[in-house]
Amino acid sequence: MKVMSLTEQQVNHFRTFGFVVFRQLFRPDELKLYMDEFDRGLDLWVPGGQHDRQKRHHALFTYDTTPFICSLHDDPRFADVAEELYGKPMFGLTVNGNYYVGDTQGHPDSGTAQHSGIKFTIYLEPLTAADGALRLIPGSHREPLRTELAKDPQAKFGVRPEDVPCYSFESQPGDVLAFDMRCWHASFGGSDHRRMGVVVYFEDPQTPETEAITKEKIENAKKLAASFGQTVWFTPYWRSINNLRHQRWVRRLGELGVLD
Amino acid sequence: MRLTEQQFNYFRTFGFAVFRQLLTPEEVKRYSEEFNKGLDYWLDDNRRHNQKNHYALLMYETTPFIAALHGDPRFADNAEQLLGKPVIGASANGNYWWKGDTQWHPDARSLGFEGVKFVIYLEPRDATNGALRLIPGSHRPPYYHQLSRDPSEALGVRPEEVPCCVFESQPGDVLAFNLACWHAAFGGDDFRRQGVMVYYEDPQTPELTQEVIELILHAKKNAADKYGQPHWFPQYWRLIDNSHHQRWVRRLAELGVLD
Repeated sequence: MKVMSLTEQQVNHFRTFGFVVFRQLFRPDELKLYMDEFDRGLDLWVPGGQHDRQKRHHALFTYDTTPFICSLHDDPRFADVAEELYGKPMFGLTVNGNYYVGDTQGHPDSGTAQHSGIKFTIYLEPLTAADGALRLIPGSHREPLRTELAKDPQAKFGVRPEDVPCYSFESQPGDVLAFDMRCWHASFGGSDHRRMGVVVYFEDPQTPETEAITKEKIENAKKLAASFGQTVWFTPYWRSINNLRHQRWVRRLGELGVLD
Repeated sequence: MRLTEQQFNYFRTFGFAVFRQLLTPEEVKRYSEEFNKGLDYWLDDNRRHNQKNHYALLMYETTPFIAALHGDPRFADNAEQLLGKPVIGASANGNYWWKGDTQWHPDARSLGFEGVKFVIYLEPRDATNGALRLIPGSHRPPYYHQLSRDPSEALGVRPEEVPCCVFESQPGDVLAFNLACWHAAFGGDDFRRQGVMVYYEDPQTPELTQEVIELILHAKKNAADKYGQPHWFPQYWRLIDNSHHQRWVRRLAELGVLD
């Protein structure tokens, strides 16, 4: 297993632009395992066991049906990198996957300046700007760009959503992009069966204000999962993983009162 | 020409604005002809392909259409609306870029004052053949200060991999950018023609006035030393009879920067 240690330049890239790219972070055999578990883990929760290509589906990969994907949560390539990029303690929030259909309009995942997290995105098909690659507005995780951007670019800037100036993360399977959740992003022209896996970490809140924000965000995430039939967020399987990092996260989540 | 609120928002947020087909096909043809005439005039034996960049002011009687565009409302009025303040026409010029790349940089040396540059490409351009690349929002602090002319050293990526957007264009399209916005071009061919109209904000404080004077004097010296351009504000340009030009000439005289 490759042990990550970021260069100063990678940290600068992330802090300046709000994201950083890791090309071919997965070996081919890992990618195959990831894909197998991805489809199995998602199809379990899809009505009829097969994606209808009509609407988005979302599933947690924190069950024993997806042990490899679940173990990525504390893989150094993800967990260590998250802490190195922020220079502070983080905790694992979720490992999940999505079948997307069509476009995703521009938005940040976190709408507050005071608190953030990091999302690693893993696409299982080659993607370009024209067919669903993630588009990001470099530097939009920080002011003044963060608050000046708009979910309706036609009304504010007079341009179609797909014409908003941005960087497109064109990727091959095995590539991974990590972005600050305040960074604005979107996707256009994607197929009706776009597979995206994510691994997410939140900053460990250190003040009453950020603690309140963190709890609210976790509750919102739980509601989203519940809308897809996922009623348990921090599953017993995920909680029982016996390593120091997982157990630290479980204790901390217990302190925050957000364990299911 | 009146900009929409959305165009103003776009420029303010991203640091640039795109005007598709601002020039008609007839105007592009005339611009192109004058461009070549105006630049070739200054070349030894009219040789374009001698492995270096060429630059010339297009403010003489040899390029009357281009010189007049400087005061055209599509440029001069737009410049004032984009910056939200009165401007001075600083230059109308052109470049033959010899091959190669233009590395990342902002045109502004500081954020003390604002200016806007309109760029006009006379051939279709995309990311692979020299289209202008810009980093949206990089015209403002702290972003402006965080970027580097050496992205390999600072960010660990090759210059052509810096995250940005690309101004893919057809002849007739015009892009206006804040002089502080970071930009670059990669993969250009060996005869990349780029026309430029530049406007500076009309300085209203002693500090800004000094900065604008220094900028103009620096540009004049650079044009003279590197490209043999004897005048910065040629007589022909000063005599153009429209309200923008005549106000600019009076103001430049007050600033003491007319030749």
